[in-house]
Amino acid sequence: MDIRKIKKLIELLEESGLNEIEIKEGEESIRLSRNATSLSMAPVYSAPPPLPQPAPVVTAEMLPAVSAAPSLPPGQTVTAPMVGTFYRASGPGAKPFVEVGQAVKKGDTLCIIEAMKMMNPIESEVEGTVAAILLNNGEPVEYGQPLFVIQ
Amino acid sequence: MPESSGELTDVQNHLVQALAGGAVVSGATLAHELGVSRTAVWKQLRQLVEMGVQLLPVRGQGYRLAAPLELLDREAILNALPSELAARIGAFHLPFAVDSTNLELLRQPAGTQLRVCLAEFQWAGRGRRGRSWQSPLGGQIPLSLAYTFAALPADFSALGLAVGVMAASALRQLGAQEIGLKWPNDLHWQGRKLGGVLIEVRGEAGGPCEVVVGVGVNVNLAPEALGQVDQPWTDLSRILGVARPHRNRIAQQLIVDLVQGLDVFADQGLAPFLADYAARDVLAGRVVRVEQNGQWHEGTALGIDKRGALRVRHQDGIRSYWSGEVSARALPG
Repeated sequence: MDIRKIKKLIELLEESGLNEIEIKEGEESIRLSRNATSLSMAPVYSAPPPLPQPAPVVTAEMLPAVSAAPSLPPGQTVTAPMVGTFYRASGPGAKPFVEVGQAVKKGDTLCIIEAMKMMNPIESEVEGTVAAILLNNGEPVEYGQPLFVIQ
Repeated sequence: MPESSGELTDVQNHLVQALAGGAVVSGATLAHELGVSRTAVWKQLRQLVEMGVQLLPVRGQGYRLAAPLELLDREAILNALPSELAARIGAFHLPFAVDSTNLELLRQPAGTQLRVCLAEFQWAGRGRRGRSWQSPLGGQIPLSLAYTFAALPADFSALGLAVGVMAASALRQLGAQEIGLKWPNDLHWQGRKLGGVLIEVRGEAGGPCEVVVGVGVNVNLAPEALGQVDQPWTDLSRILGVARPHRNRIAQQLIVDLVQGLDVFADQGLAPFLADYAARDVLAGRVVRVEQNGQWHEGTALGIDKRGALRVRHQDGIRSYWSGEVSARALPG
């Protein structure tokens, strides 16, 4: 698991209402937690102010040796904002939204995550090139799971 | 069929108001009243029929509806809403006919304020698996509400389940007890389908997320209008034992419960809805079949987990589902 991925997980934790995230990939695992003292996660309507938040603590003995699993190419990792099913195209037979090597702009749809008939298009937050697609069409996806790497 | 929203001409509006009140409309009389030609009146009537209004001929007199009905009234609904809620509504659309109220809201720019769309009927209400569902005039209430989450809430995947609880709670306020919920999207009553939920998401990368929450409830469906429906159904008229349910009151209560519930969901996720869901879960304990990638798996439904996934005990163990069709033979009452 490279440091960018961990950084992304930290961001996820900060944005979420969770106190703790544990991710397992093969033999690697990482658990991030924060002390639960000060958070009020009430969403604020018009202008959510950045809340002062305790920095997530990486309980870190689980940082793996570099060789443990096929590492991701460098770049920005796009993670799943919700649990559900991963779809690369808008429907069966339709052309996938993106392929490896394809250039994407901010706001381009990368995939759809579906849960209970709710289709959530996942858009790229950055401009770049799709370096990796980490799941197959139709696979289940967990909250926070890496989906794409954009370079 | 018109491409998008269908608003009525003045003449059509006059016709619809008269028809809804139970009147027999006559082309000749109307032409005289409105100061237009009879041909012009017939043309307007024919357009209404094309939009889906079913007219019954009354020999020698004109046409009437199969049954009178209460037309939706934007002002009446807005005035009956709590003022602080009404103040949050940035747009309130009430086209007479529309392909789907969800699509109507998706066609419009997103905003931070609430947006509401109701219609007298929709011709392409989107149900599961793209089944099209045309609601007859006044037969249903198709309601869509656009709501913006500042950030994606926890348990976002289970939003539809919470919306089902919200809708059931609104219907209880109106006197409809024992509304059941069938995972993931259906409202049931005594084993029959009463309505459904369909949610569309329009997110901005890394930013706020607007959802369009669609709730369709059967109000008063004539049996002949339902030939296209492939499952047992019911409507509020039958549940409440009322010939003409007050559609504006129903719409208003749905808006109230949806907004209140979405505020709670934004804050706390699914947790506050779990107990109510469990009490209304029509699948729990039933033998069900779940479809995954074209294959059906039989098992016993065990209710939902804390995040909303459907738990099913199969011969080889318990599995949790986030997607897929679910069928159960002979749902309980």
